[in-house]
Amino acid sequence: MSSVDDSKGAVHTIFQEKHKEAESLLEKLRTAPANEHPQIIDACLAGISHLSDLLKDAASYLPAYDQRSYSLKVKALTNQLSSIRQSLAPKQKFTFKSKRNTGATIGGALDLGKSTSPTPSSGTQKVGVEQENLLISTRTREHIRPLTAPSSASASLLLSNLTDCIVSIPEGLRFSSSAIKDVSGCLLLLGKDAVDGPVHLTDVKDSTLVFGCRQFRMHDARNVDVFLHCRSRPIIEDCSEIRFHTYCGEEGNFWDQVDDFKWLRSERSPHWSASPTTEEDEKRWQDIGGKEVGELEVAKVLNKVLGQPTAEE
Amino acid sequence: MLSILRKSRLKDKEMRVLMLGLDNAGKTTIVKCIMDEDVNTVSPTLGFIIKTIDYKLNIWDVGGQKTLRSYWRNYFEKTDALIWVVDSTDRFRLENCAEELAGLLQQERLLGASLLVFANKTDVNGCMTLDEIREGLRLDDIQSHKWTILPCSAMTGKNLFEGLDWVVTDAKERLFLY
Repeated sequence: MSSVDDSKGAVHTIFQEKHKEAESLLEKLRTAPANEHPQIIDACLAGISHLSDLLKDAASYLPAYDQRSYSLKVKALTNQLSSIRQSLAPKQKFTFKSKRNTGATIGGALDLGKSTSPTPSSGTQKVGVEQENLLISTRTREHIRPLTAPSSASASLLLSNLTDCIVSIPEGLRFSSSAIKDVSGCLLLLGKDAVDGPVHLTDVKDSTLVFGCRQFRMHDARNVDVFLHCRSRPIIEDCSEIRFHTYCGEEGNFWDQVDDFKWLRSERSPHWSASPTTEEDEKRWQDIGGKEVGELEVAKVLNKVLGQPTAEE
Repeated sequence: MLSILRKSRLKDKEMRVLMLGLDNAGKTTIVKCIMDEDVNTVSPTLGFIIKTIDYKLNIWDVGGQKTLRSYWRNYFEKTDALIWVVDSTDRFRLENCAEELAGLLQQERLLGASLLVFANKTDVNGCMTLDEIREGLRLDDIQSHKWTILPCSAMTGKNLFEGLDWVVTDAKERLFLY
């Protein structure tokens, strides 16, 4: 017993010491000249990771309260560091990010948002095929229905920053992977065979997704209906209120065998549920996917599908 | 003492290769491809997978989800080489990928390991170029580790064995140096 007490005491002393060191480093960072920043930042990072390692090693014998208060301290350090880093001269990574935010073309990607956003009256767009990826980005209250896709099936479908939109990918378009990011209040109808590979989703809110894929990975999502055909076990992480439904039958479909990284207990995860699809639903996806939806209609359709009032003007 | 340890390591000739990277980078698919198994049925990795190649090369494939990253450190001990797998199609998360890699290279227990960066999924059109990734990950700033970068594809098998060759040759060189 005493040895445990000893190690508890030791952890406390070491933690306080290292914590002080990290704090003084942060203080130094605020005042140091720019050319010394990288070194100090590295030292800070190393110090913080040392602290969190220490905590993890001590997790088995440290009381829950201590663990919590220590880890809050570590978190505070991390936050301080990142805010200081942001306030300092912007580094390379910021230019990279701002480039993306302004909707500039990323590498070989095709930017739909920039070229056509000022003409919301047209419901569908023709998309050039000379580029390799299909990027649909920064759209609000539109029906996006690309008619032509990249020339080869070996390209990515990238959807980002979409609000209150309907995206329907017509049958026959093929992608080898898809990344979907920052989507809210949207209906995404990608079809069963559009993505022959992984779909990686981040920050999806209050939306309905309908598609088939080989791998399904969802992060930081809330209140989403997923009509899914997936050929491996889907995973979710940091998600809540995710409702899975079948899409295109149950054969070879792992739609309801979801693994939740934030739920390791044997009871069922409260973050997701599974219920079969009605024929009505399947027919509805066909109807919406097959026709053009005008601007005014988008809000109505979304309202009906998502079951909540969408912002109207 | 150290030389005795090294000799004993040489004798059993076992190597431990730790394969890490963000989720969806294709780590498990790379292992499956190397082992000549079906790559079309891979589910996201919930924990870790260990595979042995030719009775001496142990590849530890640890899941890359955010939740699992804090457990990576449990695998650092006795690692001879680190393979960092990057999804060349994932422009959205290249910065995140760079940060995680930089964090790993700070770890004392990985100091002896060489680093192989696999730029995976290069069979996909419109993926990032090797230079983009090299720059994005700030590889040229790395001084703590011997490193190299190779474009590869776990779907076609391109460069996978070339990468392993580099890892093995490099480790052997280091062990015989002393």
